Amino acid sequence: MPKETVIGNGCIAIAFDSKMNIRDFFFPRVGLENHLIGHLLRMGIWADGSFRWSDDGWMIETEYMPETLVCRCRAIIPELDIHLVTNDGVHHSLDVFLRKVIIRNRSGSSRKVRLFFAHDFHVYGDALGDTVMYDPALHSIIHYKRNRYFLIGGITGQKKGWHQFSTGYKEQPGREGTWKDAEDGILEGNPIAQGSVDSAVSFELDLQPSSMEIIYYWIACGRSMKQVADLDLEVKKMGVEQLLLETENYWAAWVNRKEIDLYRLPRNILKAYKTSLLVMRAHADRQGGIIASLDSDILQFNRDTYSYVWMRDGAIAALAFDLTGFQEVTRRFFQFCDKVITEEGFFHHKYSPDGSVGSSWLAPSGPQGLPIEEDETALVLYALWKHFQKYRDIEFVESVYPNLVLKTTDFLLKYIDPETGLPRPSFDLWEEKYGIFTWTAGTVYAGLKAAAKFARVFYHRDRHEALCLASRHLREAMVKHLYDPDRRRFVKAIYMDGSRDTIVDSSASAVFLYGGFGPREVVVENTMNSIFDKLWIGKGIGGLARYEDDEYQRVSRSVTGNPWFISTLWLARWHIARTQSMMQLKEGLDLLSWAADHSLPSGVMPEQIHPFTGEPVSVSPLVWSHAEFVIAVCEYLEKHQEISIALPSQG
Amino acid sequence: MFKRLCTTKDVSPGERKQFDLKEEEILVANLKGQLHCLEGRCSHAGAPLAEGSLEADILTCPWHYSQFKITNGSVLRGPAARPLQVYRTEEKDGQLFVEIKDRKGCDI
Repeated sequence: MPKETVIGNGCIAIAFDSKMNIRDFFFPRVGLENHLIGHLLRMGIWADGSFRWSDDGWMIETEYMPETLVCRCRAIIPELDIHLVTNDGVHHSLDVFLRKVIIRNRSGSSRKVRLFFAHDFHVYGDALGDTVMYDPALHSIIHYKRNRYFLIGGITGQKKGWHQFSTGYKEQPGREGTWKDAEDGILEGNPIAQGSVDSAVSFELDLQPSSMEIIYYWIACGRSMKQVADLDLEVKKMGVEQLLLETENYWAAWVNRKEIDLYRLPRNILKAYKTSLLVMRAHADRQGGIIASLDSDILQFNRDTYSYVWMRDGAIAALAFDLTGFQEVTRRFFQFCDKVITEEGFFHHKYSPDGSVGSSWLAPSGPQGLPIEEDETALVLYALWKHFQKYRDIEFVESVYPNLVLKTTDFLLKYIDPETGLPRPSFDLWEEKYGIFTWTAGTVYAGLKAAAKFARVFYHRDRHEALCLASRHLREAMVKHLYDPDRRRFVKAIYMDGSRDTIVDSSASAVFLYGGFGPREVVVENTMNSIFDKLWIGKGIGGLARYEDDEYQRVSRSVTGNPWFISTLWLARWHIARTQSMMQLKEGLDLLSWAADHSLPSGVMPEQIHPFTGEPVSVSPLVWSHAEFVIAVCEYLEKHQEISIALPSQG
Repeated sequence: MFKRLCTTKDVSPGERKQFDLKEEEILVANLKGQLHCLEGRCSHAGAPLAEGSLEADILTCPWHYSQFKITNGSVLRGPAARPLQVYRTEEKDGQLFVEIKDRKGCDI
């Protein structure tokens, strides 16, 4: 199930499904330890002898409150005649999840209503050796294992604590968990359980006809009992209401950094732009890693997830953050890159947020080829140059220059085939094939150019000349080997047996995205027109497939593939880059609108969507989708300004 | 002192949009062709009012649903307690100007 919303503060990250269940709970590193791995923190309600969990007939709408990283769900439970509104946030500086629930009794009679919260923690990602206990002094439930503690507290608006609680066993024959016991509306009060365990708590409310009541609920996270007890005290002192207001204001202030004048954007795009930045921020770990997606449900290969730092995704997110003024986030990312770069100067396939090498399916291929995706290395270098170009923070760049910049530069130079002038083989950006790809060549070109500019800044003249020469040769080699004059476009790849992969692939957009060729050069025009002709989902809901006959998560043979956000946004960026008039600029704007309008109702952008229904397919959210959207918006605004100045009477 | 904020066509009838002028965030709402300028953030908790809903002359905050009268900034429903600041405006040659004062009420 795709994730409808994500929230976080750089230490905690939480993802919700569309049924109001929390499905992913990371702490203390974003993307590292998932203490739920898809299991549920769920909410249920009991009234008049009937019980309903939130995924049992509730009608739910989920959204972010505008311009902030607090989400809101509105739920109607028709069978019980009850309406609920929840606000969920993670405090921006305290490691605590906060929830406010407003419950309305829509019936004309007085009722006793019980609200239940059930906790299926798998601390450290498994259900072995957990403990859950009730602490009467704190009036809290605490789940813990080794150095991870989760304290659950709550209070009603009338200052009543919870009504009942229980702890118990799960995932064993005859022991489904306390959540099952809750369905009779009663919790037994068992104070402690150890092993494979869970817990539930309930609040009891006496609701008058057509009245409402509020419940506040929180989960304090820490490395020790003392830490969570202190946090619990802080929450009780400050109150959830106040802490949520602080969180709302913090993120509103964060997202409204006045770097760019946004008022020319249509409302749907403006909203998607701000939501994108906030969703991206929720994926940024405080130690620098930027996670591709917090959605653990998508098991890409062999029970593995997207909760890793891919340098490609991270670098593109860094480009977006830098364009919009969030240099603190990108500096931490580049420091992370500086920490994990190999001695040889390349990045591995992916990393865990603690900097360790992530799991991989890229097989080593012969003496010449490395099991890497070379574009990941090149894009980090390119993003770092764009960062420096904007902020001119020479002292920061100097701190990563000897290791990150020089090592990656030397690697890119060495990893060029002297015979062809192209990069040596590596895996493609889609992580499917091994060869020499137009995308990779385009990004390596950008990396070499960036390295050349750094060499000039640091007055390394020989290095500068060598890099300029290499980038020039690479550009020529791309035309010679990767451009097909018969088809009048760049091809996808050359494989190890010398064959060319001539299918149309949207990733050939790299030839203009990263500066190798101008957007109005004939070779680019032809390539991008072919991409549109072959990959636009004209029979369906529009958008661009990533390549012809794409089998990954394919749902229909009547179209060439599912629409992907990143591919569609590359097309938008090409329209924006090539245009010279307001009228032409609209082609790019329409594609930005397409992306905004096909996001989830919350504003979250998946990787790809169903070609006919628009339902998310595969991972959701995907930081890369959001980052490409932000970059495209910035490029649109820049071009709008450029055209307005050139043609003031038409502006 | 009156400062130029935007053109009179930047906000269509029935629409509202936020503009920034120095450090002020100003909401411009177009009620049947009449432009009204108010502070852009809710007086309760700072929500972006341009993201709220506008029905007739009533603006609803997108975070906690306070309601304000767009013509004079008065609070129609809490939790907001303080009215929104309303800016004096002038229209000239297709441009909208707003009067900006400092905290002591002096022109800046």
